[in-house]
Amino acid sequence: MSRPYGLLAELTHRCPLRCPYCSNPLELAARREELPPAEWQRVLAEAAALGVVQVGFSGGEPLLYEGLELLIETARREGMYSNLITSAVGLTPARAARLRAAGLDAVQISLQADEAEVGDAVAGARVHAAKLAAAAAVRDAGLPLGLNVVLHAGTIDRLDGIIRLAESLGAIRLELANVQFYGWAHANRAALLPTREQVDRAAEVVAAHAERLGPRLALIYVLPDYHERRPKPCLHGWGSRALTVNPRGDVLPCQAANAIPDLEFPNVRDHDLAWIWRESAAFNRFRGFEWMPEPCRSCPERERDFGGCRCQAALLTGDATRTDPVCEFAPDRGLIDAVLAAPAAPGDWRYRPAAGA
Amino acid sequence: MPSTMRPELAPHVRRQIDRVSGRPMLLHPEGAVELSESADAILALCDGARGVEEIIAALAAEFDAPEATLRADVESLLAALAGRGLLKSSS
Ligand SMILES: C[S@@+](CC[C@H](N)C(=O)[O-])C[C@H]1O[C@@H](n2cnc3c(N)ncnc32)[C@H](O)[C@@H]1O
Ligand code: SF4
Ligand code: SF4
Repeated sequence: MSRPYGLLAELTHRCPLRCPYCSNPLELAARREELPPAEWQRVLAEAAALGVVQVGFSGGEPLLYEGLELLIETARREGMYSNLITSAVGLTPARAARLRAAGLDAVQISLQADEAEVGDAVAGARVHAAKLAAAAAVRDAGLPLGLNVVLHAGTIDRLDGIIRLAESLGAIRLELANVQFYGWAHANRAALLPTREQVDRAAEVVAAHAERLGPRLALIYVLPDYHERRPKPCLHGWGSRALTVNPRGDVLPCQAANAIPDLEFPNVRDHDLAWIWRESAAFNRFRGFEWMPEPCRSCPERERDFGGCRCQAALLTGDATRTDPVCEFAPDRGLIDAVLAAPAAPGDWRYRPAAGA
Repeated sequence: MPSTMRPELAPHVRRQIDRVSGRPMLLHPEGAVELSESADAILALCDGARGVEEIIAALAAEFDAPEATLRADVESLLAALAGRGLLKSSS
């Protein structure tokens, strides 16, 4: 069994924004359910001992979690590289300096669009201008700046402007993430799903800019998997390189794994991470290839994609062991084609609640 | 690659010894890269002050290897890291 390299620490589900594409679960954790900082410190120490060298502090909005700086210090003391994954609301120059002093290694700010009018409409809050100021504050504090923009029907045509904005903000990396349909994004699928023409055009725009920019600004393009013929791989394999701890302390092989109804996730209040990683039923459930049905079981691609996303299989078919319906060989591919053929309703979404803000 | 450059890891990259394996590794926002001992020895000399020629000379003094081999190792490592945005771009 390999060791985990990365830990995604979801400190809180609270967030001042209301992104309709939010991948957080529909049942958001309340503040009183959140793990206290002392528990997180123990989790970080256990993670480092197990081999984790990278921590992403995320949420919800991690800046709302009291104790963030303490946890960054802990991660640094344990020799882990820490990345803050943030909407950047509340990231003033003073806060950026404090985070840096605590030992933070990098910041990734999410933007909703390239212009305030569109960005604020997607976020369900007036935040775009503050995000641009925060990006400057991050750079002024001497922290490396990455950006993330979720692409969907309402923003994917704005790629050119988005890439130019990232360039002007001095980012070293821009993740252009086609919306993945988990959590609130799944509930808002018809409002968010781009058309085939939109995604084809987007791929061209990204390729042209990538060629022009070279390594100066790394463009990471996350494919729109409904429009693909093969599924995205299940991470680097289920329970193989990474783990997620959610605000309640449940430990998941993947941040979307609570889409799988019949898996019981172990909690850090009951078990240490080493046991959870090695012994727990949830982490062992889809390791290896034994669990696979056909067509995956006898398909050579299984070494690369592991039969696709277990969480997506569960979300769409109710059975996490089935082949990811995105795959052209999957018996359930019709489910995806039906969604692609259904009438779109761009912009007609339900905002996620700005929980606890 | 111009031989006048003075290579250095980008500010977002950290080189450290892995606690579990005891081996050298690079950490950056997207992941971890395990380093060979020779790559680690090269990077220990990439301090933004030494030029490529000085790095090769320092390696030649330390290791019993033909200069052509060392040069090839240094150049291919630096090209690979630069291509992944892990080297400081200016200098
Ligand atoms: C869930 S957010 C939490 C951190 C913070 N609130 C933020 O938005 O940056 C983590 C990252 O996932 C991205 N994200 C959210 N929902 C997504 C989805 N459905 N598909 C792809 N990326 C998504 C966000 O843009 C952000 O970069
Ligand atoms: S609502 Fe938006 S900003 Fe808040 S956690 Fe979700 S993706 Fe991040
Ligand atoms: S059949 Fe299974 S293993 Fe083969 S490509 Fe499709 S999802 Fe991947």
